[in-house]
Amino acid sequence: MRNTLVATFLVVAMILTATNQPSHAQTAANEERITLSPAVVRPELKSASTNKGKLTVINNGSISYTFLMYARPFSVSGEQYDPNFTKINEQTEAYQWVQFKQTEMKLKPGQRTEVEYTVSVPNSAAAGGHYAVLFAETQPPDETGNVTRKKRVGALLYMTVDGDINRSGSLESWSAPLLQTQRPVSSTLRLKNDGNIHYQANLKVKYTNIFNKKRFELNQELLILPDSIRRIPIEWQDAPYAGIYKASGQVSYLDRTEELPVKYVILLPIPIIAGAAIVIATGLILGIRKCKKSSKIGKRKR
Amino acid sequence: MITLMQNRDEQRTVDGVMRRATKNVALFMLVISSVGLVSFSTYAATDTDTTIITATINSVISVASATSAVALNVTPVTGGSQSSASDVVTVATNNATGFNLKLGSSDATTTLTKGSDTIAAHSGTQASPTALANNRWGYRVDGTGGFGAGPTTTPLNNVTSSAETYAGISPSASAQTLKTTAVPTASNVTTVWYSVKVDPTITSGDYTETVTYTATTNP
Repeated sequence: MRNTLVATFLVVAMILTATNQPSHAQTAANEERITLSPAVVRPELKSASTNKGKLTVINNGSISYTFLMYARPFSVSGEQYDPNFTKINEQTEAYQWVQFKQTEMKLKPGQRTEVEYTVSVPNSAAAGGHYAVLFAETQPPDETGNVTRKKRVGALLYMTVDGDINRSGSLESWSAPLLQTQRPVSSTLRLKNDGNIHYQANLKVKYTNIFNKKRFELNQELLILPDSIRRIPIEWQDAPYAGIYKASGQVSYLDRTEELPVKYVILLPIPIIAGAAIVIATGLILGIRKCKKSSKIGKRKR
Repeated sequence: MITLMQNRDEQRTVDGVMRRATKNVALFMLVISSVGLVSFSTYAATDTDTTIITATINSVISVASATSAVALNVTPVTGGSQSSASDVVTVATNNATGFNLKLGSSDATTTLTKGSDTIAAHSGTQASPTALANNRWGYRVDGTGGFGAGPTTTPLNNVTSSAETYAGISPSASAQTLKTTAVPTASNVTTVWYSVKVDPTITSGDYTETVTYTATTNP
């Protein structure tokens, strides 16, 4: 009897294990993933020259796919730097300089391939920064769903064409609202580029408590594109629920370093403000009543 | 007898010499090794060399989602019947400035199409999404734009009304940013919900549309 129970238990366990394994494998087997490297390319080019480059495309998903390679313009919209892949201007028409050796390829799971491209800079190319994005895009498999999805990853191409390069920029503003009612604790830096070439900014901002004890620090390297202002939010996501903090730091760009003066931040959530208001209001009402009561007693005594 | 004794004495003498010789050799070896050790130590201490090891880590970016179909099965009723399904998009990058993920139609068309029949994209936007109108389709991403925190966890299955808000898909030229980050990430997951609401005026059949997820690094 005991042996029968043990045998039954083992059989059930084996069935359960066998059932679970394919299910797990099925999850992994259903992923389509495309990886591109490098994700950023910064070539320095001469006008009227031809330059070669290559990208690596990796299929580290679990199904085979066909992918396309093509170039598109790259610019940013607004101070939030929302990427735009359609706007064509003097700095983004450079996507037309890019030619891929092959534009359609297939990759099996685990395979990778190098995709060669050339950048032919015309003689008329203006000196300064030119920007494009090189896309690798999967073509959807035959499926019966209603919403078919393509996936594309882009390598940003920051090209510098030699000549009359004007590197120019400034720190437009550094601010932090004094009263903040919810996390993250935030401050904002705005950097301007009024030159004709992108520049790199290195940012180091810290939040300390009123005793100057460091609570959060952010180090960031960013690019500022020509003819733009970039708004950089510095957000301390995991700040405590409430407190008084100081934000300060420095930003380095274009061979100079600027100190970011201390900004005080009071983080006071609305429930606390509301609670404080109720306490103050109650105190005032009680105080007024007490005063009235005292004056009545005084009148009676008189 | 005398010869035997002489032989024994000689033997002792030879043994003694051998022992002494062995001792001397051992001593010599000890001295040599000590000197060697000292010499090597001295050599190691005075003639150091430096090797700089450089590892170049290339920047990468990847995007993935399940290959399983996003199937919106709906049985229309007067007044409209709504169903939804989700897709999970995963982005990874080692780029220091993080990534940007966009969603848009793969072309200028935004309708679900079956031959000449269409279901139009919803008029709600990502900034101001609204409840899905009849004979429209749309998407929502919890925590993005005006969608609210959600969480949206269960697919709708032929419901006549829902409080969930949706936006119409944008053409490729104005694809919408679903997420932007400022730090590298090994695996950042975004769940996109697609939904359609139809009444019996829509003819039966499979309506399809192709959308594109675009992932790039931030400048």
